[in-house]
Amino acid sequence: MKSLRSSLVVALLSALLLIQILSVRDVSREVVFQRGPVTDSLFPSVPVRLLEGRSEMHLRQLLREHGGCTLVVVMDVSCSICQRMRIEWPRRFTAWADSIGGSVQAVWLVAESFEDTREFFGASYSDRISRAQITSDPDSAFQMLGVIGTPMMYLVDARGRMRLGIAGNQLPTPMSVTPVCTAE
Amino acid sequence: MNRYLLCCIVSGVVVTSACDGEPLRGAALADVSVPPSPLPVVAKIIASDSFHVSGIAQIGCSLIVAGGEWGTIARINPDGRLDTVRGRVPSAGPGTRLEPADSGRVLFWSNNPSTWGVLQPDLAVESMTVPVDAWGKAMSGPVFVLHGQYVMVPFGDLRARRESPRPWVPAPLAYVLAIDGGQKSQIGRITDRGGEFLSWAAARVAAGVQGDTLVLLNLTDGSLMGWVAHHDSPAWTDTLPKYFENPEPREEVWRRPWVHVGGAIVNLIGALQVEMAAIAADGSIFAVRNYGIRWQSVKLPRYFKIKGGWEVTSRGLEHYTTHGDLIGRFLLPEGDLNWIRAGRNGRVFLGYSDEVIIVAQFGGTPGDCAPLPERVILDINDRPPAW
Repeated sequence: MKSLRSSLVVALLSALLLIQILSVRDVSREVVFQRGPVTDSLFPSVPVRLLEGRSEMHLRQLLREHGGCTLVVVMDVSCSICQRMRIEWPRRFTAWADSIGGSVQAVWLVAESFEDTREFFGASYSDRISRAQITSDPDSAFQMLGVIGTPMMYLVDARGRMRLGIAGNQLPTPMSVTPVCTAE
Repeated sequence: MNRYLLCCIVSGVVVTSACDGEPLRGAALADVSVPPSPLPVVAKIIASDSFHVSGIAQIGCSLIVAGGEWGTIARINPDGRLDTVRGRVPSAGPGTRLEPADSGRVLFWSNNPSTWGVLQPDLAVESMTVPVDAWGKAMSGPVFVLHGQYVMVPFGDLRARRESPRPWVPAPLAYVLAIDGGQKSQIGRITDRGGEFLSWAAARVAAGVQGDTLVLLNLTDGSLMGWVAHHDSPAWTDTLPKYFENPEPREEVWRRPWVHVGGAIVNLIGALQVEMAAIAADGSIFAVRNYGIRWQSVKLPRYFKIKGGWEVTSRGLEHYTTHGDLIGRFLLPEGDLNWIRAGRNGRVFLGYSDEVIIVAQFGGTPGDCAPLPERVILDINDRPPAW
């Protein structure tokens, strides 16, 4: 009985030691979330209202009207990086789009009231940037679009497929964009 | 088998979650019981709402400050008054840092965007090219003049997280810059720690130049190295006293498949011996030291395996010689300390979030520069450039 008890204790300690050793080796772990837009598939659509006074339409319809590649940019009025972007981007985006060599437009989206959206965007203007309010519930719209923070950018090709997602305000490199936007 | 390992085995769970409670101490740890002295504060620099100071450099008896969203540069004259001349460096947001150079010049650098260059005495700006490094990115970092050449330390930007390439690509700790913007030669090597961000985390350093020696202080383990030009190994190595045993570093990386750039959310589990540090031109080191750690559990969603992290229990400012001999220990004022910089003749600058920079004087020859007024007000309006 004594020797059986000793064997069990040794076995238990060995098992715990093995768990310990296996755990210690696991210094890095990656978790991949699955819910969100799918690369190379149709970009999700949400109802929007353009700042230029048009009635509601769906984002997918707006992207179709653009015809070429579109950089969809989701912003927040209280985000300091977004506040800076609305000042810099009319010039910065235009120079970047000209370097791509295809037809590239941008759509800026904000999920606020129409008045707050107009006030946020009012100072900035470019004929290559459409500014719009997301009119559906912001939480479900952001979840559908896979927004993890603002600004978020998505490169959508001429067929409405999402090709690139970027968290932050760094414009994608011309090398990554030109094959997408000049292939159609 | 030490106490740390034993308590983790007994609990039979993930290593890092088993050992909470008191900070860990080992046989070779330094004594932290000597009480700290009050910090010898001589002045406070109060910044404006639009201008948060991110960088400061002392040139002669003047102070050059950088800050704000739009890269504004200003000079505080020796009498504490703000000069009317302004400069502007390329900037996509706050975070420009400054390092003193020679002949009245100052070097600036930032990773917002990645840039570096030279500020002339009249605050005229010369921007330089940031070379693409071994890991395929143009990442800037602290830059110094060493033996007549520019040296950049990309792992000296503690905010710029770097993902290791797989398969592993060796990378230097620092490199000498060529005139055409490329790398001329390399200094030191990063060690592969596995994972995605663990190698970067373990390689973070504070850097400075003493004469012809590049001094690097590793923040994780407190090790010191002195590098001189044209040598493949450090001329000397030392270590700062250690106050606790470093737990094994771990990481959890969370990704969304639809975010191809900038989407990694990283939880780094580890502890630094040195939170941040500044190395003065005479080689003396001012280091914010962590004195102890404890495990802090955090409620997280079920798919996060590591539900907590190491919290620092106490911290202080310590003053060392170049080779790590302790000269003094000082209390740190309350608040969020963002950065620390060393000026000339024992002057040290501590940058806090509440827009106050504390100027402390550690010995030196105060007669060399007139004392600053107790409060220096920076009435600087940081504005976007007029396009």
